[in-house]
Amino acid sequence: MFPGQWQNYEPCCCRRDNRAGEIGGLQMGSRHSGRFPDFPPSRRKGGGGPSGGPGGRGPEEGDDRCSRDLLDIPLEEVGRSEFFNAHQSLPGVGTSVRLRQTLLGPRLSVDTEAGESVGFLPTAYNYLVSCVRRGFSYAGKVTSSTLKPVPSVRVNLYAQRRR
Amino acid sequence: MPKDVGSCCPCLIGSVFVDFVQGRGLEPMMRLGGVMHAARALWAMGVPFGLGYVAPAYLREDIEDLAGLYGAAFVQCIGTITGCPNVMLVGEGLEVGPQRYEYLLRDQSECDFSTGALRELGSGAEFTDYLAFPGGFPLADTLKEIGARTADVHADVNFVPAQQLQDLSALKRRFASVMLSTSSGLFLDFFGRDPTKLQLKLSGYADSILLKENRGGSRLFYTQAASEAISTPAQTTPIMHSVGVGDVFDAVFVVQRRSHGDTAALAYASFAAAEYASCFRDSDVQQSIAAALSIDAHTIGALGGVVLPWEGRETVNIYLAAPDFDYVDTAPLDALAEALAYHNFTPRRPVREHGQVGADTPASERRRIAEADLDLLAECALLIAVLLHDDPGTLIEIGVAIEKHIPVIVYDPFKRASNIMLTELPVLVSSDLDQIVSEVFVQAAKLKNGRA
Repeated sequence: MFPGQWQNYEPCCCRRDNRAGEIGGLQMGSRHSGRFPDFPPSRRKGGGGPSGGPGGRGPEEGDDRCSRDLLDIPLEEVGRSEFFNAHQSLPGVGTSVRLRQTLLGPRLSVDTEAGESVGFLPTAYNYLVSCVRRGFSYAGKVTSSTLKPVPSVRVNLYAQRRR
Repeated sequence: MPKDVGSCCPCLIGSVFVDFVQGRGLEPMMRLGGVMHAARALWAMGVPFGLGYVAPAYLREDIEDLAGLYGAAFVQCIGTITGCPNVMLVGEGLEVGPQRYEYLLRDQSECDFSTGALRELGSGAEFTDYLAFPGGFPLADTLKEIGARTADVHADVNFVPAQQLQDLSALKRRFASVMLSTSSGLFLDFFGRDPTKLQLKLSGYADSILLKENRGGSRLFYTQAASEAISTPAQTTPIMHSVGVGDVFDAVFVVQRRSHGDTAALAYASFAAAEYASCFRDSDVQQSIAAALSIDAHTIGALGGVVLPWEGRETVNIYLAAPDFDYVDTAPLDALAEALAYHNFTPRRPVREHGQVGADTPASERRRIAEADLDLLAECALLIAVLLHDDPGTLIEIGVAIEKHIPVIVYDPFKRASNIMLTELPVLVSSDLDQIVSEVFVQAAKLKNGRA
């Protein structure tokens, strides 16, 4: 642990001629700490609240998780799913699937086009609930489907934004 | 403005720090932290608020500028810090394990506190709630002042030293809630890592106690009704950082409970906290938290996640399969074991427990150790294999665990795994320790809660 107070170190000979960002005329290699980042909300009039937009970068900009495609995602509880219970089989590779827009119990369900649940997305993807609220939908194909050792299905889901 | 937040006008009280966050694989990040995390959340929610802060003089202009941009209706410096720059170095931004906070020159910090300024802050506004983050200013004086008002008072006591806990009585009435996390020194040391002891010690001060249990969810204990508690799951989405996330949880909870009640407020707080951890830019924070709060209360309350209370983790034995030998650099394995212990799981290291075999070890001893390792594996709920090099013992242990239907997670720090049996049969293969720890929570919760 670092000390909570100054130590009695000998003063550094480089302390002469200090300038901002430099010591003794040497650049210290700092790249990230020169000033506060320039991405707080802007001073734009009318900003400051979500309804009017906070200013600065808008919601369409940046690396938005909601717009990311979900590739090769293993579904959970496939062996207990509506589809498996109804057919005692699994949808084949290439079957069209989509994310259900509402929860199935406490979980995000991936359904066939007929609306039968094939399995749940892992809870790490629960943030998609807010993405759906923002107008995103997710549809794609089954990429892997196997009954052994346990029923399992993997899917690709591609993000789309409703207009 | 999101609906239903108009009935709450909170006032935040706390210190402002400069957070400088580093960590494995992270670009260093710097911004105003401390009470500003909660301010950022209120801004994202569209909630007007008051801010009483303490900070060094050199930060005042930046703080008041940013607070204004966040929509703070009332801002007051209630104390000036001298002797210390209020810089917080965070060495482990993701809280995979201990966060390694370093509060620079903390022992030299002195606060020139102004009760008058605090009184002035309260006189011009009708605050519904005070949310205080004690630390760096006189707690008793602060509570004495805000206790005289009618607003509900909440305190996050994460950074209150045990010897100052009695200062909570200066409020002269009960707190609406007292909050802390399982990472706090108070919980780990003073309360002996025991939620029951925590309730016992704090019940005299507060109507409810909020215990934030990291990736295992959160619980709200009602102190007036013995053994009554409500809980909410954690949302273990991939994160960028974990700094200030607990403060955001507090702020969202305080606001949402007024319009939605405690159960939904906990769920909103958990979701919003996960969103806060997933981004860093203010515009992204605003967008993600606003979207979270636009989810209806029924949906947010129904949403599943990880529920694994602190005290339920200690019995989760986790077999660490790895070449844990004295001639191997075991740094990734050590980091994993430390992270698991930090979250109150029980990592088991068979080589450490049963001994290391050498060329001259008798056959009987070799057999005894092999059998002891297998017995230990049978006792464990999970196996995590750490691929430090191509170690046959590790691979055999993976196979044995899979045959016993013990979930296997592979921590592959050097990205060695390519064999399909190794990549396809475990529940997760990852070089990311944060992802490994999150998966441990998910798998352990499934085992504990009976969901396969």
